Amino acid sequence: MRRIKQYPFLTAFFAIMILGFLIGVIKAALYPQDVSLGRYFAWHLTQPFWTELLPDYSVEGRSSLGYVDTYSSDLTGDLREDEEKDGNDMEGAGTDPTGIDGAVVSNVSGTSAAADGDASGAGESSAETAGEGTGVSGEDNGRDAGEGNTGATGDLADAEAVAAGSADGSGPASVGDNATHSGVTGFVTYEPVETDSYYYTDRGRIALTTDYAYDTVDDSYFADAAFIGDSRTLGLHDYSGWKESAAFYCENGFSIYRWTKGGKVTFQNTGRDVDLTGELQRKKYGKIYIMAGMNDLGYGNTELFGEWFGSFLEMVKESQPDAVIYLMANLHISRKQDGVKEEMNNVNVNDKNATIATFADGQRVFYLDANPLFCDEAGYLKDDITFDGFHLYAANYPVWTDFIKSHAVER
Amino acid sequence: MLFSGLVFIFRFLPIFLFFYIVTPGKYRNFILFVGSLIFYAVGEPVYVFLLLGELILNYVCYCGFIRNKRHFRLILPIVLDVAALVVFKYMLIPGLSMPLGISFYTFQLIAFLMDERKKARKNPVRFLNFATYIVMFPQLVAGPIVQFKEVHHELANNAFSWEKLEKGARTFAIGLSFKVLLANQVGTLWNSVQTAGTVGLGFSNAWLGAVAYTFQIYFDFLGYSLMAIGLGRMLGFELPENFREPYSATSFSEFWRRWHVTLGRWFREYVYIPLGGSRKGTLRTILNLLVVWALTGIWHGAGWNFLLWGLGFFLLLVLEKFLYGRFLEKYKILGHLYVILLLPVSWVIFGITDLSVLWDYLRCMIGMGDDRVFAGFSVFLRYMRSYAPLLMICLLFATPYPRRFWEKYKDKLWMSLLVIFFFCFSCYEIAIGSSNPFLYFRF
Repeated sequence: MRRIKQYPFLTAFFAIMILGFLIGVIKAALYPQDVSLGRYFAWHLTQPFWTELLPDYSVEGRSSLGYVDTYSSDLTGDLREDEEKDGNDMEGAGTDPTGIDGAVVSNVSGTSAAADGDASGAGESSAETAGEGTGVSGEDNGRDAGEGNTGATGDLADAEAVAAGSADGSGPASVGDNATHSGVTGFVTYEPVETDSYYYTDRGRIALTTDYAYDTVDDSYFADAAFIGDSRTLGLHDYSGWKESAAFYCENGFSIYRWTKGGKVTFQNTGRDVDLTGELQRKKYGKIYIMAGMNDLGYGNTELFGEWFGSFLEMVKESQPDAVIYLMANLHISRKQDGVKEEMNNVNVNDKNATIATFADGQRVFYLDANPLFCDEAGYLKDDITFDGFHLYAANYPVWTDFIKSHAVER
Repeated sequence: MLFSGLVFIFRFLPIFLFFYIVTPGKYRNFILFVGSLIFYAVGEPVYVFLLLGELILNYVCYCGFIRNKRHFRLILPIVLDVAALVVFKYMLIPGLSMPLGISFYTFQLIAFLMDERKKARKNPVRFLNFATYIVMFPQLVAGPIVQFKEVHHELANNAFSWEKLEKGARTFAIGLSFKVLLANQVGTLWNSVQTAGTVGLGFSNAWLGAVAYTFQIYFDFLGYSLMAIGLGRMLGFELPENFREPYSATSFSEFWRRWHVTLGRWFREYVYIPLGGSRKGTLRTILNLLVVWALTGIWHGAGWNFLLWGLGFFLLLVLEKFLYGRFLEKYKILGHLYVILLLPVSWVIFGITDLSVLWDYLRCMIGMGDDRVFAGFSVFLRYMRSYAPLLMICLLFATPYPRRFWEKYKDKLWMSLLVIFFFCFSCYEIAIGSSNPFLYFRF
């Protein structure tokens, strides 16, 4: 008793640490899938002794790896029985039956070009000892899961365009004949590199903007628009000039994973946190822009992300039966930041984007990729348009808003 | 290894403390010396040998000086130490990174040598004591810049006690909280403003960003210094304090007596006074100040903006010394306003290394940015909605009141529980991977 009075801090400290540790261990054993504060304490106090005993809870629902092509059947596109489109390999296996041999489509967005030849990425992240002064923690200023080593990067060996059946070789970038290739979301393929990350897989494919006869509109188009997304959408809110007219459901750190857990999102127009599902059931919008996934890079793996995104999109479609839905590709990461955190690299971003693109049907749901406007030939976000490697400078947003305005679907 | 990292807090520190406490008193210095080298080697597996090399070189020359008392024997190691610092920090040789903490331990080596010059010792200080003084991990990487006399007694006589461990642990927990809960959080605001870019940055946001950085750098460095002092106390040493509520100063002369106190002390005792200080006439005083502030500037970083930053303070200090210093002392309110207005500007110069970006940012701060504004007042309001409470708390902790409150209630049980709560919360924030930079790490 005298000890406690003499050393209140130390005794209280040890008591709380031991208590917290016990709670954490018990909770971890009972609820292996639950990621919580107690677990963090138990984990960090006992690591690595418990590694063998407890399941790996650091990633929600870790599933099997491997080059699983889950996109074989329900792919996007206008599957009309058009001759030009026969033989188009929608799975991107690399063959080119329509004679666009080696044609590099103009709006190719590549992946990181540094190939080492070996599977796991090069180098250790020295995020702690790097000479960078001010804090760039990667991604949003909010939370991201995971820390550690760099992941693998693929090599954009051959950009073989296996995309919409433009038999005349003009490529899907050209807004041409509606009948032949409208509505198809094509892919660029390349030689994938083996990865050993449980967050993503290199499938050797990059999605392209849905081919469609888009209209160009002005700002009034967005009077009945809703934007859903993370900090990049927040930038759109700040710098597009549409914050008075459109609805913005976005915040730093927004992720589909959090929505599946019932998380709320900030309705920037009022500044209050709202339940997105409820909001979309109450309000009716003519267009919905969705840009999410950047903060999901460290949650689960791509297959899971596909499921979560699918249910998210279902929710939007059901509650907004008349709205056009635009799925916007996540922006790539700059050279300096690519791979600084294991799961934050362009291969992972492309993996998630490709998954998102599979949901575009070319009739109501469209996939828009603005990356070619902001990336270099190797697919990295250009260094001179970003401060932290993830977000654009405010002055670059007009380029983006112009892109959005020139890729509109009028009903 | 960062103090504000879980590896340090939950691995290195408990294991080290165990060995340190268990070891009988007379061998503790050895444990501290070895432990500190391990601590350093984890972050710098190669440069730890540079550190060892400098230790041995300095000590050999020092022993030679004790035997022979020729000043050259001290000047040589000082020159070599400075040369090493210049080579690794300023020459920016490609492939050669800067060793962690070199700016700090170089200054401590020089301080040791120059202090020993004045002492009339018959026998040299023991190598272990000297080496432990230089490399002890609480202050190796980011200060405070300790003088040998401040730790000599504790090194020579085992000074560990449970009482000090208790007090030190408290201080460490508070330092960690300042860094993680205040500095890291307000740093995200500065980061957001920089992310928006200087093109189209409105007046309000330029100032908001500058204020955010002002708070970030203070709580970051204050937090780290408190952690260092706390760790030192846990081991039995009383390291000197580094901050005395600098933002409550009424002039920059006063500010620099309260900010990074041990650095100001170092420059005063080992550069300013040897050059003559203020005892050789006005012109010479100004010249001495110029040297000191130019060096202070570039000590902080190998960049022109740092030189500019140091020279800016030179100008202000000379003006205060010869023009309006006494006026500010008389009208304290004006003094406070003067400091509060110019501080964010000075930190912006410190914080932006690219001169053209810096120039653009400063123009935004005086309302002469571009015509087209992207990050305007509405964006400012949005930031304020999120950050106003945090900014208020930062403002509160920049005043002397929290410290007085602490002094009054620090031994109460509820205060301990409060501090432990903040400690746990800080560990949680670190664990979930939120922004955790360390600004003074490039030293």
